[in-house]
Amino acid sequence: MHAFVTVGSTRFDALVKHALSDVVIDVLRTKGYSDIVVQCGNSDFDRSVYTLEGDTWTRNLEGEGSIEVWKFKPTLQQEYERADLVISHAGSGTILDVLRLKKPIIVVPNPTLLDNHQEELASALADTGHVKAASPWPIIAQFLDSIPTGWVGLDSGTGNGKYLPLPHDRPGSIWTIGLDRSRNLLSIARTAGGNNITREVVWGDVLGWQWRHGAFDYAISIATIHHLSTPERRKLAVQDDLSKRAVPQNERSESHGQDVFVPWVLSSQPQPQPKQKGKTKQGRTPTESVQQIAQDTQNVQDEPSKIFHRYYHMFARGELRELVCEAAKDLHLHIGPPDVGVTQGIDIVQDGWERSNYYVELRRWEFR
Amino acid sequence: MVRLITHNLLACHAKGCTTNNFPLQLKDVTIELREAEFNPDFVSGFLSRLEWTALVNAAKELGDTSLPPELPDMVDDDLLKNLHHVLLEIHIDEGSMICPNCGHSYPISNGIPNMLLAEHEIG
Ligand SMILES: [Zn+2]
Repeated sequence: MHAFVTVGSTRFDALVKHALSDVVIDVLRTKGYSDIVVQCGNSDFDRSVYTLEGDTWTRNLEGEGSIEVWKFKPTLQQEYERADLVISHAGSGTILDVLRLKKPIIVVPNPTLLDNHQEELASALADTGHVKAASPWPIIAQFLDSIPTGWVGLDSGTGNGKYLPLPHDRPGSIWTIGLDRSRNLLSIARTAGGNNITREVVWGDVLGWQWRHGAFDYAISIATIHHLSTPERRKLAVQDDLSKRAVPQNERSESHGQDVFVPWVLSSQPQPQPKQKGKTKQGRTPTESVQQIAQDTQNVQDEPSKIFHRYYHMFARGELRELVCEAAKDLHLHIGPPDVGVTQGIDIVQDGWERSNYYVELRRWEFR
Repeated sequence: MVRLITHNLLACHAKGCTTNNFPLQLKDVTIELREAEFNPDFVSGFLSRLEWTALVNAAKELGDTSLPPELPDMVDDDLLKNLHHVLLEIHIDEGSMICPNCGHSYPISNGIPNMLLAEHEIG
């Protein structure tokens, strides 16, 4: 099959770089996309492994397939038509053209362009279920925006590290440390956000606890717990969060009054609707985020024996919240706001559904 | 990248290893110094969360003796700058981290620490 990557009329170095990376190429090939065409505009990429013929850089892939990269063509309509998958910047023209052809499209908003509303458009289309956007999930971005300067947190299952550079308007004011099971993704996460800034990443298991007691002020865990196969394992993951994470120190509690708030967000993606799923021959929903595809590889690479047992738990409404409450009860944590006669507990700040994901935000509190 | 900001948070999690499992001892490390933007508000905010002695000792092992043995009551700009350097500008690229309790070795390669355990080591 044929995948087409397009960045529009300007440049989008990050998209081209990742699209041409071994990780993404490998995933695409695993999914049956052996011919990959990239419209790169004025983006930079490593040309050393390509042969230039006319206006086109080409490279043959081991086994079957090839990569073709070129800058511009007067019209891309033909490319959309012959593509089985389009990976695109969030240009409105491209999105509409591709959706009209009913082709699967992965939309990657270009955060370096100002005032072009790529994020907004992608968000709006994601909310209406037309696309799945690979941009930071607004609820998480908001959450990280609200974290006070000087806090250090954990992104458990960080993937390609897209949340590590946030918040954008206060760079370096907080540090989020990325943990993941995939070494390949971590090598991308290390430079997430660009600008020559190195992120802190750790190779490890989301079910393990490789940190000293009370290491973190906040934590996020996105689209990871639905990969765990049994209710017990999912509960265990949440309990790890509740019991060991972020038991705060005295100094911190003084600065926040008597009790301590340690918010974090857990989220989970439900299984795509079976009805939509059957429509595409490839058995995938029409749109998938790059990260999700990357997570698929992660499973393929890290757990070769489990390729056919990849687990994807479908959460029902309210189930994530229930899971959190059950996990808390087992740990004898009070559920609700700080209360007289209770020493510690969790308070659910909000839970809901956004961008086809369930989320729960909670605060862990403790009286000292 | 593993820098001392992360080293100050990591602990051994091998089966049964629950006490004296912090800080991990640095062994055979190669380091690289790389400038990072100084954010005094971050450093002073993070200060109270640090395990100070662990940080001072780890910095010494990496050849940096700029930090006082005790965290002073008054934190001045120079100390914040030194802390910034110690926490965020010394990158450990290769080496390993050894648990002081059980001796488990966590390798670091290409700046990424490997905290995965084998199935039988998971507690
Ligand atoms: Zn140990």
